[in-house]
Amino acid sequence: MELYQKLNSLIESNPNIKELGLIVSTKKFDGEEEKPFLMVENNLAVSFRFIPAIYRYCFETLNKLLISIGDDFRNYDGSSSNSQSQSTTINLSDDTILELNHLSRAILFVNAENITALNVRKKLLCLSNYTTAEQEIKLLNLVFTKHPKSGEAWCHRRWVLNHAPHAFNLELELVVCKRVGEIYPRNYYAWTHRWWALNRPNQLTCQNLIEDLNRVEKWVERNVSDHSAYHHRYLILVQLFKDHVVFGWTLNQVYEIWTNEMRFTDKYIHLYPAHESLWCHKRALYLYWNKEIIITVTTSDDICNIMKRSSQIEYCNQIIQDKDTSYYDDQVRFTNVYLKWINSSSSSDSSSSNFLNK
Amino acid sequence: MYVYSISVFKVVRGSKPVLLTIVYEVSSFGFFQRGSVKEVALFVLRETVERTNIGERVSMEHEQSKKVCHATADSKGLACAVLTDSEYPGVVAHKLVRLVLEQFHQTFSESSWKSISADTELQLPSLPQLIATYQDPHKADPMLGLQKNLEETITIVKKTVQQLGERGEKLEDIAMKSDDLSFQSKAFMQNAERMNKCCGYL
Repeated sequence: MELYQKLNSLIESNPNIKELGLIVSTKKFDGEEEKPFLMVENNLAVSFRFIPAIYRYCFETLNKLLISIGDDFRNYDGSSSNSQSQSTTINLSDDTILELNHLSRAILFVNAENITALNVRKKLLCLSNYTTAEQEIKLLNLVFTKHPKSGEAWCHRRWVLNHAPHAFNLELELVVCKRVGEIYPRNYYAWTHRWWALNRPNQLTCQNLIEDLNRVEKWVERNVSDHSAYHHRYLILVQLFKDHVVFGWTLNQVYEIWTNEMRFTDKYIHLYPAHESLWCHKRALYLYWNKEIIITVTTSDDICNIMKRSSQIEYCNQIIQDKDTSYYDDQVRFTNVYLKWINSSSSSDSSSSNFLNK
Repeated sequence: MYVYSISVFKVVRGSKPVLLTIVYEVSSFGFFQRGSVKEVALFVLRETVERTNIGERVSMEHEQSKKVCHATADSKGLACAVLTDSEYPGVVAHKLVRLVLEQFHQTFSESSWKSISADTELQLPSLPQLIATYQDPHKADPMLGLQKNLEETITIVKKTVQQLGERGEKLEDIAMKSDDLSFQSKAFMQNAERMNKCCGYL
């Protein structure tokens, strides 16, 4: 109880907390032992041994409070907008709302997957002006610094943004995805959310896609084995092809960006040998090209040569011959898998099928 | 592709290497993990240097955490160790190791560090710049011919952490005895693995 109040006053008096952390003891940070909370440069830490007490208190109190409020709130599903009568029956005092807000917030700090708390927060957003969607997003940013891979919390974030589209800011979403991806590398949730954010109404523009492609290029340069990032690039590239008419692009522009991606991948396979993620990306590019895009290519288009099977086989042979590379064995293993794969995937393309036999 | 730390040690036969200078770049970690990450980094750097013979280039990998410590020791009794993630090209890391040793020799005369017997942090002015530049191996060394197994790089000895303990000691056991690690960091090391490597360190 005391702890909980202390936590609340700390949060209220520091509206711009940047990160949330768990620590074993506060001793190392400020010399004092046994303090439950600690603020360092706007980062809040909770001492490990106080967690169970806080969590138990908050969860139990929240449940009691929910029972005392009654079924109206419990059964409330946010759809009151069409029936005035329902929203008037749920008449909560400001104190109760404040209490619900603070309790569920504290629970999320410890466990971002607590669905009861998340649902209470959804209801509060529907019911009152007490928490705004902007505040909720800010809270989630903080929660992610401690729980970067909480699927429920990411889901909640999407719900909030659907509920209050005005709180959506693409730039902010992208920044959050990037930072969370740093805290927990190869964070699938963050990349899924990134693609979701780009797909919001009015966000799927050519400019946004190209800008994000460039941003992610910087990311993969430093995280060559991040599968999710390549997949994100792949989705952008596919979108650019599918919507090229809407975007006012010529097919040649599409070809250029696709072939550039293939060149980029080839270059990085060369620079950083033996990363399977790069080979998988290459495979995805090749497959989509030969399934969907190739139909649009007229035979005279030199620009697309690199995507041809013969060029791919040539590239692979170069890699195999480059015996000086580090991690040669792994590199060749991936190359052979790729070769085998492109040979089996397009057996209809017989023009160069005897290439390997030479 | 991250360089987490660059360090220079004085090698002392029969006892722990003495720290002469060190820089860290740990901004990718959570704020409250950074302290522990630094301590664990120093611990790994020191343990690796201690097990590096003169003239040998060692890359010690810890597979679970995907971190690698690259180290070498020279005949004058200096050793440099660099901590990176496992994506980082080993050849570039060893180039950095050599560069730092060179610059250290240029900046400090032998007599100025020979007498040091306790951990110190001498100021090597170029070090902060180096750790920033080498974050991107491609920029730091555009040739990246680095990926080629040239003559000199074949001598890189790859060791795993399992080989670190000479008499079958486990890293965890060594860690528990270490003075470089606070209680907080020991708990951090023990927990990192259990917590699905959330903390991403050792």
